[in-house]
Amino acid sequence: MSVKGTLFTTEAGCILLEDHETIVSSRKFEKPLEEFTAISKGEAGPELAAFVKEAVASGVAPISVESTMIGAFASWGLPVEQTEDSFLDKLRSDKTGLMIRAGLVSSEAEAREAVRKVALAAAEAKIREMSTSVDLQVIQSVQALDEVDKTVNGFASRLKEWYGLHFPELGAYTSETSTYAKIVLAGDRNSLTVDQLKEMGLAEDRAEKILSAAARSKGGAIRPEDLAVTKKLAEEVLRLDSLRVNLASHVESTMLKMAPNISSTAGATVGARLIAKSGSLARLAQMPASTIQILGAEKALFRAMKTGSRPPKHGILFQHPDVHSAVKWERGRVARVIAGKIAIAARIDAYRGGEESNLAEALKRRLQELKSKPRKEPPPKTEEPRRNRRENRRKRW
Amino acid sequence: MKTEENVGDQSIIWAQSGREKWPATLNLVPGIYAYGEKVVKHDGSEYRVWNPFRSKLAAALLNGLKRLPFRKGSSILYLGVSTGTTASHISDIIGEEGVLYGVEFAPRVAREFVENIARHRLNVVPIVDDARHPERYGLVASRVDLVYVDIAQPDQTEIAVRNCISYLKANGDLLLVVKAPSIDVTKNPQEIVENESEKIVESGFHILQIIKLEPFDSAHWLIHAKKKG
Repeated sequence: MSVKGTLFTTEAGCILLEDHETIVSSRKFEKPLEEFTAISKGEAGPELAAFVKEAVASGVAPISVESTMIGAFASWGLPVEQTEDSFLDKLRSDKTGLMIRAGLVSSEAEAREAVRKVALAAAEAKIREMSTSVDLQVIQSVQALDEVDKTVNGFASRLKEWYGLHFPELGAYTSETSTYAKIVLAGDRNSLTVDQLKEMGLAEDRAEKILSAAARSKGGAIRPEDLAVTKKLAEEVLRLDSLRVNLASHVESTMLKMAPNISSTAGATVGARLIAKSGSLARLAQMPASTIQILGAEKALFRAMKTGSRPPKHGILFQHPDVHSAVKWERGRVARVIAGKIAIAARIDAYRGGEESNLAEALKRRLQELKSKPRKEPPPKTEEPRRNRRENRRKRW
Repeated sequence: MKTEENVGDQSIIWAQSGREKWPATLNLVPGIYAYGEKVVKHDGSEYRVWNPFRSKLAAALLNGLKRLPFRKGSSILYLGVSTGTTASHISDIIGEEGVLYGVEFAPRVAREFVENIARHRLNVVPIVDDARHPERYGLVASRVDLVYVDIAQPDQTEIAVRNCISYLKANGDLLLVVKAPSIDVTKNPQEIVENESEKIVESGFHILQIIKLEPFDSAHWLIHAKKKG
């Protein structure tokens, strides 16, 4: 004859009850953390599984378990059903008492310590697991890239101002930061030679122009000690610039591996910024296209929602070449189309993986279509009276 | 100058901080501090000053919360424990016989909570999980005296109520922080608070107090409710 049983799991071990009160058997977990982690995922670890199988073999059936655990046991063909909520509640409220009576722990203090220890270890394990994902690496690298970029630009413009006292014409001939810094390192404008400049990768005619500009320069003389510090700054600019290049290629290669479809639709760097803004690839994948379109323009969006002014057309997506190269009145539409494809791309990258070549092509085709049907510049918007504006916008939405 | 409930309780005092009087709690783990808080000595014991600009519960105390709905030995479920600033002071007050289950889902802040608070305090149990799924952490928590919710989500009240159904004792307390702009930026904050308290009442609670947290936190309220028996 079989008896009905109830399984109650605790951090220290599991308990089998009969008739809603008698403790029939219990098992103290040897590896409580492993068992607990499995249970919180709705799975049964080896010790719990062995305990339940043993109980069934000894004639206890069906066994009622917590709702989250039914799947795990049922899939092994074990006779399980759900513990009634009211009974489970009763068990939980007397958890410590049960743990002591079942011999899992010897005192209340020990029971609390067992619970805490397992929870602490589980929390640490979970944090470790959540800190391992590749998107966190991409997020950090793209944010580092943006910060280094900002720093390089600041230092570079300082360098141009400073060395510009000595050789103001140089800026007009070299727009690239690293080339400019290399010329500063070469030193006094009057000591420059064509060979030196060619070694830096400049074309001969460009080099000639720079030299002739140096010869008729309006800049002042520079003292050797001033030039020495300026050179130090130039060195730093070069170093940071190479770090920037390094970071950019790291972002690019990681993105191509981790999110090939986002990379092909948004571009690797813009895609990485979108992931950073949303928090993770999984979160981006759960966002609607309309949110992706304005990600990074939260301030403008909330202002629009509050005051009824016009909502933003693009956030981070403004950095997408097709958006910022479009004429002003087309940008909203271009951003919307791109955001739509990115939303699909993110879902593929997050859930299925693999590159979907159609996606980038479809986007390209659609953008081409937009370009081939340009719209005329709309007449300037007349501002509606502020009081009505909010209501009117609401209706339009 | 003590709240009614805590008269005779040595774990909370009022301390002079600059020109203001702020609460301070008896440090459960002397020598270990949670967030760079000020420390004062009183009767030879170490008290940590409870900064109302950092903790909404302290702000509520200063703005007229009639009683702290917990004391020595209380059990508490805290959703959105973040780095554990408020939790550390609650932990001081409930003492070694009490227990605080701190739920936080964001790994970055959960890391600090575990590192700076949970590891040092034997009455704190960390749970790194989503407060939207109370059934998941069923293993850890049994019924508690108080559910404290500070999660800044549009559906925070629903989440709070679901957790109360699973884990709050009859006649237990609920403290709910309402951050109006997180619920709906377009609506008038006052309206939102009324809305949220209505939801709580419909779910079987009495509202005891609604406290505005200005000037410490703008557009924030704390709702104190009690579950009907």
